[in-house]
Amino acid sequence: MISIENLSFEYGEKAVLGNISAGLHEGCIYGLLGANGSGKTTLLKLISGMLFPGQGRITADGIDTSAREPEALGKIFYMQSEFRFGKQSLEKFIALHRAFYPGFSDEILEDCLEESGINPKTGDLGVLSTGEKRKLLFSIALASGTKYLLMDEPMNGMDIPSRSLFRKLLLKHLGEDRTAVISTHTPAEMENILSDILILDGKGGLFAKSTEEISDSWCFGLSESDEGALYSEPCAGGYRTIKKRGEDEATGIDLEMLFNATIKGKLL
Amino acid sequence: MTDFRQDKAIYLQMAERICDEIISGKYSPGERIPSVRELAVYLGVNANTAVRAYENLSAQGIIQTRRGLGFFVTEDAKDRIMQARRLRFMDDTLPEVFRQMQMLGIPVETLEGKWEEWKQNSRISNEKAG
Repeated sequence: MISIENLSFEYGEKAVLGNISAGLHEGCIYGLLGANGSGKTTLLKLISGMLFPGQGRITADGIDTSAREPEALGKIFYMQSEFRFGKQSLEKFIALHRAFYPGFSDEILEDCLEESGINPKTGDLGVLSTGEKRKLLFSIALASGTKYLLMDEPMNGMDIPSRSLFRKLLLKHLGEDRTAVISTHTPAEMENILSDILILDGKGGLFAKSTEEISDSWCFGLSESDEGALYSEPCAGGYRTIKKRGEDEATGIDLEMLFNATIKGKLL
Repeated sequence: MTDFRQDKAIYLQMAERICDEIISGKYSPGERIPSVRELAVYLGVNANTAVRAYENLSAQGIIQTRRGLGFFVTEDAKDRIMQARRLRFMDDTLPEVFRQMQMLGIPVETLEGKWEEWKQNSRISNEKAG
């Protein structure tokens, strides 16, 4: 388990995270949502030990990640949203990563590359498009075998078939004992695969609930009036609403509505 | 993007899907249905959601787990599904139809004629299809 305890972080004057706490559990897939500049990348970097907390701490299986002990960092794969590949062969690039991860699976890598249509014999990574580079990194992430997988907007630049491929490969290869945290600005395409939702509200706070808790607590729907709604937005068919769930049947979760309601403080 | 309807939780829609497949005969009584993981990957949903769907079906006595072997369709699954659906029709669908009829001023006698007409039409289209 990754445990975030009373974590605060600021860039100079600008406070980003204010005393947040959460536990990230095995076998769960977390969707990390937040407006631009709300601290999604910062949080992922803090978890992976690339930034140091202002206050509080983050532990992976009990070990403080900011200590950068190989024992903890070897369990974490961080897939950045910005990256640059030098002029090198795919084989060399993979060998470089494989060396760091004792649980690296060539079988998973092979499957992912094949499904992604990336030639394992590519001589120069420079010829790959942005989307293909991202698919390559994603394949390495899944193959790394690390218990914790942190991905910063992994679907950016991917074409439509690749997006569904991303979901398919993640569900197929993640396994029951691994945890994924995926930041995104397009939650609708991810909602079915997520077990938990994390929302950075832009004021330093963190909303953290499982999809089960969310659909037990609230109903999402379309209705003619916004009466009795905790939060609503007008739309062509009337109102999109979030209501407290009573005896009603559980509805699907509208992540955009959940996000908007959360950053406006309507679900506290 | 979303392959599921918004008005119903995904786990409930997955449970309905299995029920449809039992009714259609894709899965017979006593037959094993896909594992939680197989179904999750196949439908592109989180495994926890699939677990919830199977819990829901187990609670209704439509499937049962055999330790280490997986989930199996119960002997009376079809009856249970039909019974539950009849109840839902009476409790949810019919009141909504009545509400609309009252609002639009449609007398109940018109239904009988429409019912006969519908049966006639569906017989003709069935014969054409057959």
